[in-house]
Amino acid sequence: MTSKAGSHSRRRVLRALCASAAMAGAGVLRPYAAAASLTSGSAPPRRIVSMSWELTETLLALGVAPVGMSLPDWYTRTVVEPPLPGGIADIGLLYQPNFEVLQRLAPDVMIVTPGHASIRSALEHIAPTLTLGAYMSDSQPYQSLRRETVKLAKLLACVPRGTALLDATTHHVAAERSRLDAQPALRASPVIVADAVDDRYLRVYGAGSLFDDLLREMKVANAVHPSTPLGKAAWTMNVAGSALVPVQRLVDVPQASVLLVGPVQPDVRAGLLRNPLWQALPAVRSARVAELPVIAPYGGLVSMQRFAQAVTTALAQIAGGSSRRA
Amino acid sequence: MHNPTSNPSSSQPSDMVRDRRLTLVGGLFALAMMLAIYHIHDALDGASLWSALALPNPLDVREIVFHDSLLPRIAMTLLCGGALGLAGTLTQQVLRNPLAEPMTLGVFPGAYLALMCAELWVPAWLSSGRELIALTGGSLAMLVVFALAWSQRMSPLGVILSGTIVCLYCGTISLALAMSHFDLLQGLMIWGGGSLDQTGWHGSRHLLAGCTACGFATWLIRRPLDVFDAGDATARNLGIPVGFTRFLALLIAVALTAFVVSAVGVIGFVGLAAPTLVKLAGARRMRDRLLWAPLFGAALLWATDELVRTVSVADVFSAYLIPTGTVTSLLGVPLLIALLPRLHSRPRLDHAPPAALVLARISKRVPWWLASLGVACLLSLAVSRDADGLRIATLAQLDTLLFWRLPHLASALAAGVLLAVAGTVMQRTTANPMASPDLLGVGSGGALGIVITLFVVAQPGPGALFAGCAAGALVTLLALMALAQRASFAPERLLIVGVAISSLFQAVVCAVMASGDPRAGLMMNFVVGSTYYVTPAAAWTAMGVAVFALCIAPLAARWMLALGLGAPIAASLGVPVPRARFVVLVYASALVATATLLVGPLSFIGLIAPHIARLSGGRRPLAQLYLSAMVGASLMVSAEWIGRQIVFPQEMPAGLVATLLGGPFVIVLALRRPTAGGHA
Repeated sequence: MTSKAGSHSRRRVLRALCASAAMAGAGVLRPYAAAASLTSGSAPPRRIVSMSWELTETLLALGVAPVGMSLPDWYTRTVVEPPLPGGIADIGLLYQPNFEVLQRLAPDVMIVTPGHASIRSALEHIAPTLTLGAYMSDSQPYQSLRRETVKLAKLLACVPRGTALLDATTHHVAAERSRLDAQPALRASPVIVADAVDDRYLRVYGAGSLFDDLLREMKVANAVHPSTPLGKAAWTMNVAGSALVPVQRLVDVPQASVLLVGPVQPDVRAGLLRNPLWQALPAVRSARVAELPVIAPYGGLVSMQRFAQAVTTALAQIAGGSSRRA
Repeated sequence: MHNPTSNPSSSQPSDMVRDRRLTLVGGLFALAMMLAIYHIHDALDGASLWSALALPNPLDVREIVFHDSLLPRIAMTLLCGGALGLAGTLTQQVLRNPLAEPMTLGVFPGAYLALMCAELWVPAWLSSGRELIALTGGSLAMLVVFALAWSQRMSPLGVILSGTIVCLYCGTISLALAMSHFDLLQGLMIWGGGSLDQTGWHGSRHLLAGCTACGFATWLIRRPLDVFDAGDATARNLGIPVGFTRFLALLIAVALTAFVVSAVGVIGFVGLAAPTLVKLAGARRMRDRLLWAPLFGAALLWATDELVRTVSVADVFSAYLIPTGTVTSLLGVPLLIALLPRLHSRPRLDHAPPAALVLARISKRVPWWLASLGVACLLSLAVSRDADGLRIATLAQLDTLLFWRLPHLASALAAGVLLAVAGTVMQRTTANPMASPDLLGVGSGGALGIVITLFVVAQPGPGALFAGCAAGALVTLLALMALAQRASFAPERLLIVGVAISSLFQAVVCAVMASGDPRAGLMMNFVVGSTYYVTPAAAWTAMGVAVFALCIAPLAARWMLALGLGAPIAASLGVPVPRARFVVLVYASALVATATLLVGPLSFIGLIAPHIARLSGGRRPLAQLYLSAMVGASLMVSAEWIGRQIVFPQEMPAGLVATLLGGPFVIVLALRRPTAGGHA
């Protein structure tokens, strides 16, 4: 009885499987609308889906709001400026956008990052894609970011606006640099730019990060240079130009002021206050620690303008001795 | 307390053994001490050692670094090592299992997961009840392990297999949580890796109090513990409350682990190494081990930590964080493999009675499962949530998205079938109801291949990832074959090798997540068990493999039946046992490797589908196999669909949903079996 039923079921299973395989084969052979070429003349794309918070920033800076992006809340929390307009669809996780949502959004073009390489061909079924964001792991990210901004402006057919953004950034950074030139005291000590990951670890930004490039533009010394100080451990950076180091590594750079990129979480701040090592650091003892506002470390040119301004403000604060004892 | 001449029967050889014990612990301490002095010398850099020790000048950073970072770190290391050594000794003694320790019993992953959940949802509890949360999580995980192992009469192998299942389960959930809360969890990842960096004495003082209490409790039950060597019956005759002592010892071990987890995070395998190695070095009596294992654990962890510090300032690593706990986990894997031969107890098969459960009529259940498979497929293709709720796709929408949905449906279907068939074959041939293909290690090997590809290739496309996974699975399979050949393909050994590889995989994933590397976020997407990245070519290939597997299954039916009765009976029935086992192994591994390419290394489909098939009336090997293929396919397809809906528009990996749904079922199954009279 059982074996008979078993063989019966087996046949049915096999039949079902064959049927579905046949269906699948038909599916594969069916031609789909080929992705339209990006360079085709006509109207510039306006329905845009962005798959990176940092690239969304550049998009907004060029005056175009995306119709969809991954987790819009994160943008508001980590990039902040330019502000995100309401009504933007959430397309799901950063590296796993939801195809149903994408299809309903019917975008003209999707802006993806090198991290999306593995699903790019599938995305091309929905709309053409443009891969940007390689600047984040470039060895000279600032120049690379400027080039990518122009590329995006070309796609959106708003090159003048892109050039204006580039010029505005150059101008802004130059202005901050001359503010510093006017007060040499502000450049008295080199700086360390870092995130407080928790009360024991910092993520320090060095060679290969946007922050480092910007500091160089502003002629502010980053204390991680030279990256192999005599007799001290090297400041080696990962591909994105940052390094995760314990707080005590700051002992190696006693002369440096510390700029903590916001937001510093309340519990991390409380932990640092309890940390005797942090309290003993020369920078902390002589009140050379300042908090920057929330700035995306790999953000676009608007973030970089804000960074330049925040650094000058922080250095002025430190020099004026008005810096809060963190 | 320890007196070298107290044992009257000790003769010349055992005295030599005693010497080795001192050399072992002393040597490690000397090594650690030397490195520590070097580091201290470096950090003090000319400052006065004595003033730094006694009353550090708060204005001198060098003295503060010494007093509030270096010294507390050493103290913390010694305490953690000692606590884990003691915990391992206690569990190994009362469970009479040479591989039992906080990691293999699931206490560490359970406690870690509990703390992670608390951090995400009730952070206010953390400041007050860290230890209590860890204790609860750890105890729950251990109870689950025991529940799973209960049906196998708590045989050492059964306990370890169940422990691995729980480890994988907790690890998957942690990964999935990290995937959707990556920004919040970076700090937690560092801590989860077992980083011993200290800032001040607060943590070590706290841990010292906990360890002292646990040490005292152990001292109180030292005599009953001694008697455990003689066996339960003898101990009972001597008037020892066996169950109560066992409960207390396990409670102490879990408490010790919870203290360690809440202080520094997960530190794997010190609890395994310490008792085992001091036993090998000559600490044969329990009271010796209770003293020497903590000492050895402390020395081992201290030496490892000093070595990690020496290495981590090297140029190559200094951008990354290397948590010491991860390193011990990595080092523990070879040890686990080396200790394998000591696990000779296997589940006894002679008392397995014929099916006593009231089984359903298969003819009634097959249509039901077929229907559910069809419904699941339809749901997966045509029904999806959007902003306003569930809605059915129009034909046009269906048509434009078919290029994406169909390969995913096919891959879920194929993965379900492959895992279910592999699971049935393995459970049948080993006669072990906990033999899950996830435990073969082939899947974890494949996932390791993916991780390596991600870090070696600059912008890995689907082809590169697929190749990496296939290579990883293949290498694992070859290693498995080489190791298994020596044991003439005894399935138990294979499973333990799989356990070791799975542990290696988890340790590597943990290390990457703690390191602060920007690629960690991308890595999680690939290893967490999602069908998301499956390419159409891979999906159709897998479908082909699944159909082929189902077609050739009848050829193995007789072997499955015979091997399930045990090797001697199978041999007497004329089955060439080693060859049959080899063929079955290749068959199962190939299926698992293919499924890993689709849904990642983790899912319980291979474990539960055969059980459901048996309960639905599939008693003969082939009937069970085909029914379980059907069950596996419908479970996987449903899991994939549910995963897309519950956190819309985000996607929860199909493997994870299957794991979450299947986990409770496995426990229920394990608990009800004994009352029904053994497994069928």
